[in-house]
Amino acid sequence: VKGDHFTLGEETEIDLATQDVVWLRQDPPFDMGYITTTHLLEHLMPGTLVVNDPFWVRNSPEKLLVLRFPDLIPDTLIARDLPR
Amino acid sequence: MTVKDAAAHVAEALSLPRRQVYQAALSSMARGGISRTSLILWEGKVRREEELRVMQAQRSIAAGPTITRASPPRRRWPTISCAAGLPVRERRWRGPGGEIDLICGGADGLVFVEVKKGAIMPGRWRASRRGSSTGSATSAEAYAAGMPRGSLTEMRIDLALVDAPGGSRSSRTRRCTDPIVRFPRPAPCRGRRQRRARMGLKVAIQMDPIGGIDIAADSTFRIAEEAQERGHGLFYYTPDRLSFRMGRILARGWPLTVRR
Repeated sequence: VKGDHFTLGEETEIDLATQDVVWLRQDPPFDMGYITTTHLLEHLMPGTLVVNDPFWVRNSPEKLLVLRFPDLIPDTLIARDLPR
Repeated sequence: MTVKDAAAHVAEALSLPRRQVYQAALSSMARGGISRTSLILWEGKVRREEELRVMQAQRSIAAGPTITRASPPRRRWPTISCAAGLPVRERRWRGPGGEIDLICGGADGLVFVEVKKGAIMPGRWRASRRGSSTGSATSAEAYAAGMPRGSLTEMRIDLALVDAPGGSRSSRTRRCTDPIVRFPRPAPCRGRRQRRARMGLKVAIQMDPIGGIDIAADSTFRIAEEAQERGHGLFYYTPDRLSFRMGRILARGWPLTVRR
């Protein structure tokens, strides 16, 4: 039931290297704080499976990634000096 | 591909009579030491293999099996080659998750072969392969990124166990068809559901505050729910509680149980 959908145990601090899997799931904003967590979590690999892979989280900008699929997008111009 | 075809490839690669290789393959299969899809040769004799993960469950690459062979006697790693019509792309390729001994295939599909000096009992093998297999998956994905279809390329990771020369211990062939994302799960083979439930994984979830999520729409919640159902242990923390201290990555958080 919403509002009663989880129970927490006792708060503790753990070494994430003891985990088998770490899910990287927080929402944007994709700011320096976010990027920093991807760098930190990368230290756990490959001993711990980190999903989504921090490397690809950093290297898949949501607005630009689609440029890799030219057959799926209309003619596109990206420039700082638009008059061109 | 039939056993006969596979044997023909191997025979050619090793300059042995086809008939001899075929017979060796059959007798080895009869002892339960080898699967239909992979043959491993060591000094001309068919030995056992352990095939690992199939990245897309059930679907293996159309080009068929990996056949690996060892070169004539050598003290160090044997030379491994990949027959069955799959071209070898790389040997000892270094990726972010570690070195992959052999990469075969093409745009239609890739086979990553990890060669281990074997004669390892199945139980111990499972324990020892956990870390390195995760590494292989990481490297395999990185390699696939350079392929036309990227990580949508069909992929398979084969583990080739080669015996020490003259070794004669036997181990059972084990085939796994779990998708690669389930890599570190203990005992990932069939018929182990009970045991798997007891030996659940430790799963940490770095997410936004769980109190505020919409459980009807939040995919992270669904992931947590499913993991819990499968017997894995959950630990929850928010990104601001992550820290690096003395070379360790720490998180302050809570054991978590979820419900709907």
